[in-house]
Amino acid sequence: MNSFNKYIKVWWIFSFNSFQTQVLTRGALMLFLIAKLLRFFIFFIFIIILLDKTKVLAGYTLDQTIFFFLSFSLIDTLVQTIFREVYRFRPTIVNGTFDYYLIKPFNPLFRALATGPDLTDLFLLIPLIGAIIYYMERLGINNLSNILVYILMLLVGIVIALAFHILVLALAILTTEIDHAILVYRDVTGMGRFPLDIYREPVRGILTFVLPVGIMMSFPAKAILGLLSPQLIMYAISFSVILLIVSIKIWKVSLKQYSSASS
Amino acid sequence: MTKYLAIFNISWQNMLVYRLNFILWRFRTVLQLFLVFFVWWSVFQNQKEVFGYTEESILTYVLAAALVRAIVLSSRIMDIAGHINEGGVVNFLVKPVDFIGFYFTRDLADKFLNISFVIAELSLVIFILKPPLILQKNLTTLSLFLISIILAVFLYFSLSFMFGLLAFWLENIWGIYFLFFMIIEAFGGGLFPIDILPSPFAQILLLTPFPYLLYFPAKIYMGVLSNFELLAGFSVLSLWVFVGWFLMKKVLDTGLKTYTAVGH
Repeated sequence: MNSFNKYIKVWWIFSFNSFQTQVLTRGALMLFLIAKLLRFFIFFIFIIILLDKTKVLAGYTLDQTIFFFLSFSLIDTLVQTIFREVYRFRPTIVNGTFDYYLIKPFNPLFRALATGPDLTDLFLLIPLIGAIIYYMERLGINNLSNILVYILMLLVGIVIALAFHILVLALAILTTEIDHAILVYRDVTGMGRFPLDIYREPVRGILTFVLPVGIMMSFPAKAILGLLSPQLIMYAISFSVILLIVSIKIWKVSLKQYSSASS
Repeated sequence: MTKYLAIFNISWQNMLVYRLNFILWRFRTVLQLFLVFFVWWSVFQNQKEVFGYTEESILTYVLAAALVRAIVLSSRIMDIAGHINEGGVVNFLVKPVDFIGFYFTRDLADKFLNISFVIAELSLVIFILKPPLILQKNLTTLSLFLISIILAVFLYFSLSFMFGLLAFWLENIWGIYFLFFMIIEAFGGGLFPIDILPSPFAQILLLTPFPYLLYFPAKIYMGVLSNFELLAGFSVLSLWVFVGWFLMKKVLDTGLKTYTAVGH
């Protein structure tokens, strides 16, 4: 419990510092928020305009397609909020600051992953969750077991995202070439904005079973719509656990390979 | 001219130093194309025509816009903000190199590298997916396409350079850049052609510079614009290039007058 309290306290201190740093440049902060809202709304409006003409997209109605998009946005926003520190990791390797991570009585993985959350994204989370609840009403979703599986699949999505971020950190230590790796993750997961059924095989299969974009982004919405079989739910959970274990092992291997750039 | 060729060569080599980064960057370009391509492809699985587009025309638009994006929007101009904040810009002020010329040459190196690879990537995508496409053979149309791209290159450079120069006054210009990129994503025509939007809104957007970065060149390639639309489009585009370049020079001159590089 003491260890847990320590991590919570340290996380809070770092998070608050990170938030204070952002608020120093209020103008830039406002512009970032506006830009994120613009990005969200342009896809939202595009879906509405498109399905106003076509009525369905890959067999899904307007409300269903919007729900897929909202679920994607929720996971994407949560992941970016929690793991924002990963984007700042490369300079710590290049300039040797990572040495200080290693000598402190604090898990360096946790330090590199989660101690710089983007708390400003919380402003976006609240209306997003509101929109999800609204569309659940529109779709007549009131089956408790489907809702619980939806929450479970959201957690599975976050675990997969966590595993990817750990792999990105390990790659940074091994190669120092990290700038595009995290953005590749963002682009790959960005393909889950729409139901994966829009993709042709073998792209759809790759995105579901190899690069688990489908598990992360489509499975939650499919679960709540009652379109996900128990076998796929079990597959998703197993995949996320195995991926997390593998990513942590790779992180440990990368630590053994780490040579300081001099601090 | 020799010094600018040297800048071009060094920039080219610099971009190829981090090979894994380079490969990942190219991979990202293909992924971004896939999303837009498959959204529209799936729309036409049950429809013959949507918003006046057929499957052939919309997929041609998507791939043409991807090609234009690789040329127009590939840029390293954002580096200037860091150079100004860190004081490195004084190096250019004391050297016999034109400030704008230096960054434009670097941009050209970036664009040539992009063009080389995007042609290969698009060829691979076309080979694998075999989409129905319109192959433009009209030399006049292709010439106008090329001219529109050149003007779009100048337009994007002037706008993004101008925003970067705001670092003379602002500590953090990334908010402005991020908003600028999102506006281009929203209204540039990369995700969807601007003419699918409700007409009054589309007409207003066509008075802004953003659709001329991707949408206008792609539509020229498709050969569907009337003479009036071409004339109007080139007029607005030229006007924005002039305005953008004028503002860029103005901001640069004003910024240099107030600039102090402490410690350099």
